[in-house]
Amino acid sequence: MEPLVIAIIIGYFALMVAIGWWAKRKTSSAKEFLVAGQTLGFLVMAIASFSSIQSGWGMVGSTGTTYDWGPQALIGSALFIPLGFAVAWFLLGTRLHRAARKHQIYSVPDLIKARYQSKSAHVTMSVAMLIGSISYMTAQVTATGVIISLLTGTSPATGAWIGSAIVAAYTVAGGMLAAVWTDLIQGLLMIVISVGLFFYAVNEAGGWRNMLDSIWQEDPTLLSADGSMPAVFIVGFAVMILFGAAGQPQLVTKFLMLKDEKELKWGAAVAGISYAVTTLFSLGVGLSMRAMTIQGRAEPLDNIDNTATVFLDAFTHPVVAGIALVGLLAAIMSSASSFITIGAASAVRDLTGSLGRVVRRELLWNRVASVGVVLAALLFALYLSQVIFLLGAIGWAAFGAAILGPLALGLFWRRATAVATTVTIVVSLLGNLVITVATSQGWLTLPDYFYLGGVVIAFSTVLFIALSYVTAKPADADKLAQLYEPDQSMAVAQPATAAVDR
Amino acid sequence: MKHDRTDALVLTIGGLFALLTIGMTFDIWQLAWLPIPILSVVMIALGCLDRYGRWGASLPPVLIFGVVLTSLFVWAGLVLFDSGRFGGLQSGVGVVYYVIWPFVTVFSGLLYAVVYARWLRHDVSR
Repeated sequence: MEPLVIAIIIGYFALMVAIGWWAKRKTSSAKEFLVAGQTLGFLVMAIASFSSIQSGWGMVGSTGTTYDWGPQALIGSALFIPLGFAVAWFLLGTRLHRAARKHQIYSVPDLIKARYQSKSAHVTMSVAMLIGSISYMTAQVTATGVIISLLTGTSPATGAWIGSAIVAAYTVAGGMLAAVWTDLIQGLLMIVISVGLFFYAVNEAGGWRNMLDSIWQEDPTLLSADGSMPAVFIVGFAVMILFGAAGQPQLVTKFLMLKDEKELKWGAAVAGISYAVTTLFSLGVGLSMRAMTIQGRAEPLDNIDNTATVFLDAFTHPVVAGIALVGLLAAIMSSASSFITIGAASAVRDLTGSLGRVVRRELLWNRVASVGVVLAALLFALYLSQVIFLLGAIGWAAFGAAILGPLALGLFWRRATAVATTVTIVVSLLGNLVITVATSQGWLTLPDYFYLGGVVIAFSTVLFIALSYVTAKPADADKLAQLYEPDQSMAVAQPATAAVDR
Repeated sequence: MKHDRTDALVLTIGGLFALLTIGMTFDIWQLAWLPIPILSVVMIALGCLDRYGRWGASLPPVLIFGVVLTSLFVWAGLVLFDSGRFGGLQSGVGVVYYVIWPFVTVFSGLLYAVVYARWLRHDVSR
């Protein structure tokens, strides 16, 4: 390995750990650990939002599917995310800020508790957060192992342990404060690398038009809407991504971290444009690899998840490849750090709180739980063989389906009920789980146009609205008013816990 | 409880998601594709409501955005399966990549900034 590449890797890891150490000195309570002390400005919040959404699934998985399916892959997985950010800012921005000012809200289950004042809804959402966080972390750990093994020459399992140890080190130390500031660095790194490699990759394949012509002449369906995958499958994918964005906990919690309502204004624009720029990586590298395979300049790939790494290895200078791999690692680690703290919060604060237990020394136990989340994800990652893309899709769909209705619509709709919330969360999680297992085991065969994630989100939202409409009582409208009005507010967090935190 | 504007918007969202579910389940691409921009704009309109259920100054930019976005989806839908090319891609894919993607990337975030400045900030600062 080039000495410069080794220096870059060490420098990157050292910077992340240094930020973690800096954040640790500023973290002395659960509020600072879980919502960065509510001190974020719009730029940090917006870049951290996009970089925690742009995960290993987005950068590595989408590059592979673009190689395999053509441009239609990104219509499903990426192009509508900027619109999804805007929808999320509209639905969550001002309402979450108002609610967070009235209550001690540090997590999605806290919000559910404050909104519905229901133990069953609170417990169910807490369990969903814990399971979902570990599932999402598993995908990030898997991707980390692949990238670090390529950077250092170790096995993917060893790479997974090394990467997990580093992301755990700075997240356990500095919590969400470390996560968002490392997200900022990681996000900026991803933007620079994506722009540079898009132009480099397209140029390597002969320029944009020549690249597309090569693919068109070989197989026009690769550039078509109804090509490698049926059009409705791609649209279902886009539905999941667009409308599921407002249900992603790593995005929802960012709104709870803002220091001031004025910081909302430019967030959607910055996050959306940043995400679109990093989509260029998958577009350029995925299509250029396909074109160069057709041109006979690259070998056909056995595993599409290797598209980005094979491109970097075969077509770029080792130093460029090293920097780019660090950029991919940044995409993965930025999502991982958010889910470590969200998973820890769900285990320590939400689940125990929903069961009526008060956790003393909450900060300490959040740190312990963070280690637990990483270890659980490592165990899953090393013993499951599903591809990164599939794991990521399950996490996104399950979160989107469970949170979009109960939270995003529930912040506005006085008829939204706790019963509907509980049922929707259970159906979303079990629906995803049962159908995914049934199809993977061959017990159920879905039509090739059927995209489960999109259908689950759409169906779950219909279910939530219908059940709420049927079960709503006048008291439910009062609960919505109590979420925002100071004189009717209730104690959401455990005051005793806050007092003994330090 | 009497029905109000929020009820109407949420029930519309439910209806549009039901159409999406039918379209995605039974392979009817029109029902899966065309509700997307309308649903996006209805959700944005819901997000524009202040604590009293008013839209105030937010409605004109949202309506303009909605009309343009829906028109672009209709355009892409009309050429989704033809054999022509647009900028090297099949026509429908070309409309999505060269027109819809830049539009939503630039203008959806900008729409939030405009609506926030004109309307939503007053609701938060109360």
